[in-house]
Parts: sequence; structure tokens; C-alpha cells
Amino acid sequence: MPDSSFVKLDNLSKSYLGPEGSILALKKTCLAIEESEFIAIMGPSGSGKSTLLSILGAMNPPTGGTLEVDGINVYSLGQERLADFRREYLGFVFQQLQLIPYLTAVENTMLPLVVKRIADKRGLALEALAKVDLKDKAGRLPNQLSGGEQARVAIARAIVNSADLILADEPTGNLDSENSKNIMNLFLELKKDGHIIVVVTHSLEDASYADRIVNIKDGLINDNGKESKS
Amino acid sequence: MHFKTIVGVRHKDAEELEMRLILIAINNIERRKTKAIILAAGLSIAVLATVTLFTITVAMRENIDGQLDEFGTNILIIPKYKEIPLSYAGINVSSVDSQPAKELSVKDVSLMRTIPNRQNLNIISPKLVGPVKISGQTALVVGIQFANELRIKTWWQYTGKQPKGKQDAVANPRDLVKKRAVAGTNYKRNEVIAGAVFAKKFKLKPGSKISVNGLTFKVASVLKPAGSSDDNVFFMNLTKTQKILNKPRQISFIEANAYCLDCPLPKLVRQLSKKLPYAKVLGLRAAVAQKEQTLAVFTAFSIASSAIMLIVAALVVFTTMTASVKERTREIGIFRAVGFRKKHIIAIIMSEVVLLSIAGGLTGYLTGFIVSKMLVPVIAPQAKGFYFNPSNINVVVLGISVLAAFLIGAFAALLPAVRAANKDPASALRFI
Repeated sequence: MPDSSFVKLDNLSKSYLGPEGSILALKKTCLAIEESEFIAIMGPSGSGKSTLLSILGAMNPPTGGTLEVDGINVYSLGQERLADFRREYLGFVFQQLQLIPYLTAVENTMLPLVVKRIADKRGLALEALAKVDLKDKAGRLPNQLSGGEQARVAIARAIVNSADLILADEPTGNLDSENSKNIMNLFLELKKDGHIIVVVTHSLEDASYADRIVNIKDGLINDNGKESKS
Repeated sequence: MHFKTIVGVRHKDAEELEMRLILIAINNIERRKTKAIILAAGLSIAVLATVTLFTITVAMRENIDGQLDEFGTNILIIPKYKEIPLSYAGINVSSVDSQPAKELSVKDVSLMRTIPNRQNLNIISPKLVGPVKISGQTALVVGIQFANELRIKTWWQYTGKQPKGKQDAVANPRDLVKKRAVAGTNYKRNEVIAGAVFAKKFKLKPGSKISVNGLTFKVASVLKPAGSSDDNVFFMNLTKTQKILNKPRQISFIEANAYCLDCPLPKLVRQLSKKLPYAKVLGLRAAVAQKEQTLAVFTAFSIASSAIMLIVAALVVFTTMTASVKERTREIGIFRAVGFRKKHIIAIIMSEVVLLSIAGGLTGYLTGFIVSKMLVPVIAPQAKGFYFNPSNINVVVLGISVLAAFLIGAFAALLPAVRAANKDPASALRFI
């Protein structure tokens, strides 16, 4: 694993306590992600994809190993500093998009900026909406937008804070093929802008946009056909 | 990178930050109107009940004091006697009249005006009582200062001349003082007021002339029978009486009326006793003691009812906010995922509750004010509005109502807010 990697997962494990004892969701996982890289994580249901994404998202502390982002040992931070970390480094596109129903497109996009010390938050949010070609619908509530448009608002919210790492959990799961293509093309553009994209997907077509496909099964990573070894 | 520099740095634009969070809170209130209405209504009803009970209690207190004022004298000052008076139930069994240690004089009236609570002394009415000869028969004259006596004897009813200003009934005691100050000033020094029995005995009617110790007086008014000792005497100007009885500046006793809304009568009695050590000062509060006892029970009931209502309101806020937080688990997860700190989540929840609490407090006070305005004239018709004027909004009570609603709302919502802030974002978003 190169030391210069922007994101480094080192011997990362995660176990949960289930009704029948401890379940090992991730097994000593090692992964390195470089700047401006587009990665697709694939695997069957229950393989550990979402667990891996939530650990990358600084929301789910591993039971073993470390996650380093930009030289920061992420899980050595306290809870409040983890929140600061998410605000500064990460952008999320959730599986159900998770837009706040009572906020307009621009207000949803502005969310990561609300608690940031910067000027012209609305201007930045409109700029992000312009990138996803939705500036003209900035004042609409989520229920006044189509599924594809909602997905684009979710992406705008993920990039509004100039996040280095964009994590997307099955972003095209509820979209038709046309909208899916548009979304994946948007990710490609964001990659060109220097963002790291990590997309969890079941779709081979979506995965084909990525620089690298990471397969995961039973908590074990097979990176481009190579299972991680530690 | 930028993160390393911002960690640990305190936000300086706190004002802008709060404004944004409040906007999120306002948007959520708009979206969840039913829950918001339930929460505000719970607080509003509690404040309404508290304001109404408080106002009625205050009005009842003022009502009692109004009745006390109507009762007339509530302080009686008489000279101290050297011996124990040998009299019982108005029957004097002493063969010789006992003599006071020191006679009272008009100077004592001036001394009364120097006590610390002198502003509570509303009316001071000195009197001189003595026997006089009328048509060869002995009668009792009471020397009075018409202006003061007629303000105390508000229940007197007259035939003949009516005292000037007496009929000016007003709600505010301050105005009462101003208006009643002129009562009786239309009586001249050579005019008298005759008691009903006295007038009957000497066959007097308004306009009659009587000769008292050789001086002629005109009967200006005759009192209607009242069943009191006032029926048996006639009233004359005090200075004139002192002259006729040859007792210059001397007085027999002093009746006084005090505002006792905020002046405990015993305190006034103590102060007057200290100032006039040779006199016996009596506080006459027994007439309303029973009503005060009833009021004390009602006050306790009001406090207990208000406390129960406020506790119920706190529970309504608590359960509503707990349910709201549960319902908003995902939303809170999103806020946390995009970088909101725990304190930001608490600020959003608390902003909602505070806004609704203030609204509940305001509406509670206003509805309580309207209900009180309808009930007070029925329950306490003689409330003078010394502290509560049903025509005006009481800013102090309004402020306390809003503050109480705010504190109850904030206190009851704190636990749900902290619980919300402690939600794990990963499980909230069902990553796990």
C-alpha cells in the first residue's frame, strides 16, 4: 500500500453482535485510494459493502485496524471532531437520497455549509446546483422534483463543501437507465475536477464508469481480482 | 489541509449560524403543524389556567380590600385609661367615669401622618363627643371633619342636602381619593347632620333650626335609620364642637381607614402605637377574616391546580418531542452525516420548542386575559384594579407567562434533544 495514498484502510475489521453471536462484517481489509480515483465497490447483499462505506464515511468505527484520510487517523478523533471531519472532507449520496422534505433544493444543497464559517452559502449552493444543471429548480421542494432531479440535488449537496471524497451508496438504485447514465457521467465529471468517487453498486454498467472495481464477499475484499492479504 | 486548521476553532459567526439553524427549526414547525399545535396548545392551556386562577385570586384579594374599604374604619385610636373600664356589652357599671391617662388632640392626627407607612393611611377622621343642651334636654354631639367623616361613612343615606361628591363611584382607589376628597365640603360650619332617632325626638327635618348651648344651627341633612349609634346623635363641625364643649384642640377618638392591599394592618397598628404611646390603637380586621381564610384556601387550590397544569404541559412537550425525535431519526442522521455537531442538533430541537413555547405562552396569556375579563366582574365585583385592571394587559404577568412557558418547554425538551444529538448517524441512516 503506497504511503502517498489519500485514503488508506489498514487491516480494517468490523464485527457486530447479532442474535447468534458476533458477526464479522469486514475481515482485515486493506485498501488504498488515490486522489481523483473513481472506485466501484460491488458485491452481493450482506457482503459488507455498506459497512465499508459507513466506515469510510467516518460514521461507523471499526473494531480493528485504521482508516487514514489525508494523513489523519480518522477514528482517533472524538465524536464532534468526526462531525467536523465529515463536513470538511466528505460528501454523501445516500441510497434513498435522503433529502430533507421541508427544505428546498437550494436549502438541501446548503446543508453541509449551514454550520460552516464561510460567506455566501446560498451562492455556493446555487453554484453546486448549476454543476448538476438544476439551478433553475433551486426553489423547489424535493416532492416537486423527479427522481433523477432529486439524485442530482443529492450530488450537489455532496459537492457543495468541495469534499475530497464523495461516497455514494447505490445512487442509481431507483432511477431509470437514462437518469442512471446522467448520474454516472456526473460522477465522471466530478472525478475530473479532482474528487475521489467511491460508489457502491450492484450494477455492472454503473461500475464500468469506475477506474477500479473492488469486489467484496463475506467481508473479504477482492481488489481487481486480488483478495486483500495482510 | 483546511480541516487541520479548523478543528478546535470556535465559530465566530455564531449569530449567522443560529439564524440558519432557526430557519431549519421554523421549516420543520411548518411541516409538522399538528405536532406543533399540540405542543403549543398544551403550554397555552396551562398558561391560560394559571393566568386565570392568578387573576381571579388577585381580584378576590382586591375584592376583600374593597369590602374592607366599604366597611369604613379599619383603625380605631382611643385614649388609654388608668383603670380597667368597668363596662360590659355597652353597660357601664362604674359609678365614676374613668379618666384617660392623656386626652387625644388634633396634634395626634399630624403625628399619624409621620409613620413609615403613612401613604397607606387613606382617611383620618378625628371626633369629639360630648353632651350638649337642646331645648332643655341633653343630647350627644359628635364633632367631625365633614370631608373626612363622609368619606368613611359611605353607607350613610340622607334626606335633605346630599354631600358633594359622594355619589362619584369609581373603580380605582386613587381616583376614589381624588373624587371623594370633595365629599362633605359643601357643609357649612353652622350646619349639622342629624341622626334618625335624634331628629325624630326633637322633631327635626332638613332646614329646621336648633339651638345648641345658645347657638343656632341649621339641620342640613337627616340620616336614614341605620341601626347604629349614629342614629342617636347629631354631627357638627369639629372646631365648632370643641368651642361649644370648651375643649379646644381636644378629640375623643380617631377613626381611620387604610389601604391594606399591600400593608398588613398589624404593621400599621404597630407603627401608630409607637407614635402614640398614650393611645390604644385597634386594628379592625375581624370583619373580613373569614373571607381571607376562604381566599387562602382558594389561593392554595389555585397554586396546586396551576402546578398540576404546568406539569401536564411539561409532559405534553416531553412526549411530543420524544415522538418527534423518533420520527426524525433519519433526518437527524443526515444532519450528523453532513457534519452537524451534537450542539447543532440540540439547537435545532430547542429552537423549535422555544418558538412554540413562546407562542403557547403568548396565546395562553391572551386567552387567560379574556377569560379573566369575563369572570372577574362576576366573581369579584369589588376588585378595584389596584394590581389587576381587567381593561389593560398586565405586562408583568404577560412576561412571566411567556417566561414560564419558555422554561417549561425548554426543560421538558432538553432530554429528547440530547437523545437526538446522541443518535448514531450510521444506524440512523440504516447503514448498519
